[in-house]
Amino acid sequence: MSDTPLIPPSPITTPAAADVTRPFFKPWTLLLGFVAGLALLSFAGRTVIKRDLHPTAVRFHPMIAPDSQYEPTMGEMRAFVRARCRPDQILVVVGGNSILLGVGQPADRVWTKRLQELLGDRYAVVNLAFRGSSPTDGGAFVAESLRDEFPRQIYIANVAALQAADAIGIESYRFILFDAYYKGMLLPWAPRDQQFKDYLAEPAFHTARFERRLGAQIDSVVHFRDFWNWWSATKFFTFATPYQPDPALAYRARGKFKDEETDFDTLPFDQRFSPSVIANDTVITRAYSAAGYAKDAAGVWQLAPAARDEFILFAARAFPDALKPRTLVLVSRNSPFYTRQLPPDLQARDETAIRDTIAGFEQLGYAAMDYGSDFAIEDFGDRTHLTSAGGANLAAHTAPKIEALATKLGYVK
Amino acid sequence: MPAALRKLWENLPPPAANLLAHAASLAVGLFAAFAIHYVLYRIGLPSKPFIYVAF
Repeated sequence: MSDTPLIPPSPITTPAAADVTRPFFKPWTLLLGFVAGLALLSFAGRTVIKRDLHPTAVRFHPMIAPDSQYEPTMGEMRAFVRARCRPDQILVVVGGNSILLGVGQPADRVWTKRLQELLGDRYAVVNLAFRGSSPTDGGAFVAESLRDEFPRQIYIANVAALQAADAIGIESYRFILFDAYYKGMLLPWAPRDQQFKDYLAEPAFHTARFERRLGAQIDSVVHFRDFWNWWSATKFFTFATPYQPDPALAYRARGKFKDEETDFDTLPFDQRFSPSVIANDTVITRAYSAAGYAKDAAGVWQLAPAARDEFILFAARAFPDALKPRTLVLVSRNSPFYTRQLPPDLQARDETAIRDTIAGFEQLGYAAMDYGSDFAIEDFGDRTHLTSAGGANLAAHTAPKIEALATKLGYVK
Repeated sequence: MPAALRKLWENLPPPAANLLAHAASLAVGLFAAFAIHYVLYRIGLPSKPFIYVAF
């Protein structure tokens, strides 16, 4: 018997062990695939967003807006503008809220179409207003980001009396600011930068806003929002939204939806002005200029210095100084259906507030005007939104002001 | 791994197995990138539509 110890067969030589030692996945190749995939998608996102995703749209209607969980990107809105404005035209970007969006006006009779007709081919009017949006939201950031590409530009937005917007917009549309800010599309503007910094650092929301910032920073590299918005607009929407409960339409490409804005002209007066609506809107109308005003010894309405200072402070910070002269602020009024019911005293207070608002904006270098003082009840579809006739009236009032501003800014000789 | 696949995998000549492993790894990497890219988009969207209220 040999003294040589019996060496057991190596487990490596068994068939079962061979399977273990032959890994199916190659980690470095997998990583390479992951990185290459992200690079390809990033390139795709940057590329596809350069085309106009909404060639037939005249505005961002609810199926291509946050109303239906669709958040347009800066790239998407910039392409929307480029497709509608030639380099030799003066760009007129309409921002602001539902009033300037044209809620209650069908797409073929929306006020910005009428404005385009009145201004003629020298100008290109692009409607980038959104429901509930402030003057400094979407359209404002898009126009600012195109300041070099379209240096002859005018930005229009609306406010109520003594309303001055936050430089960083409102929460519902802040995704646009994140997009523009972290893609480096905005001018340095210290008041806005500081306000945004304070917003991000707010202790109660620090974690959520940190995540949002991180998402925007990652997006600035891999362009996931651009790519998936293109996908959603042209291929199919990837999830159902309560705004579109019909299962047959839930996943339909958003670019295939038509702008089906309600037409105020087809709604009976009693439906638009029901007793409960009238009761609520009367309260709102009475409060239009309530904040900050008191009568002096002579019985004249005067704005309290603190209220004025606050308004001026916000208005001064709202837009970078370089952009104020090309910004036209429209002060919106309430329907005469409501204002005519106000006592003369309150009507006088409203007029004072509107004058003070215009003077305040002009003092800061903006252009400003009001509209609606000579509008009829039929020009309004409700307390504040305009019918098609009212929209046409608004266009008629605004066009000369835009032309005068273009001349003042040296856009036309 | 199912037995039949395991047997097939075991019997593949090394160069073919190597090539297949690289190809499969690349495909999985690409798919993971696609999935992560979509998830980043989806989690950034609000969970509810923006409800517009005129005021």
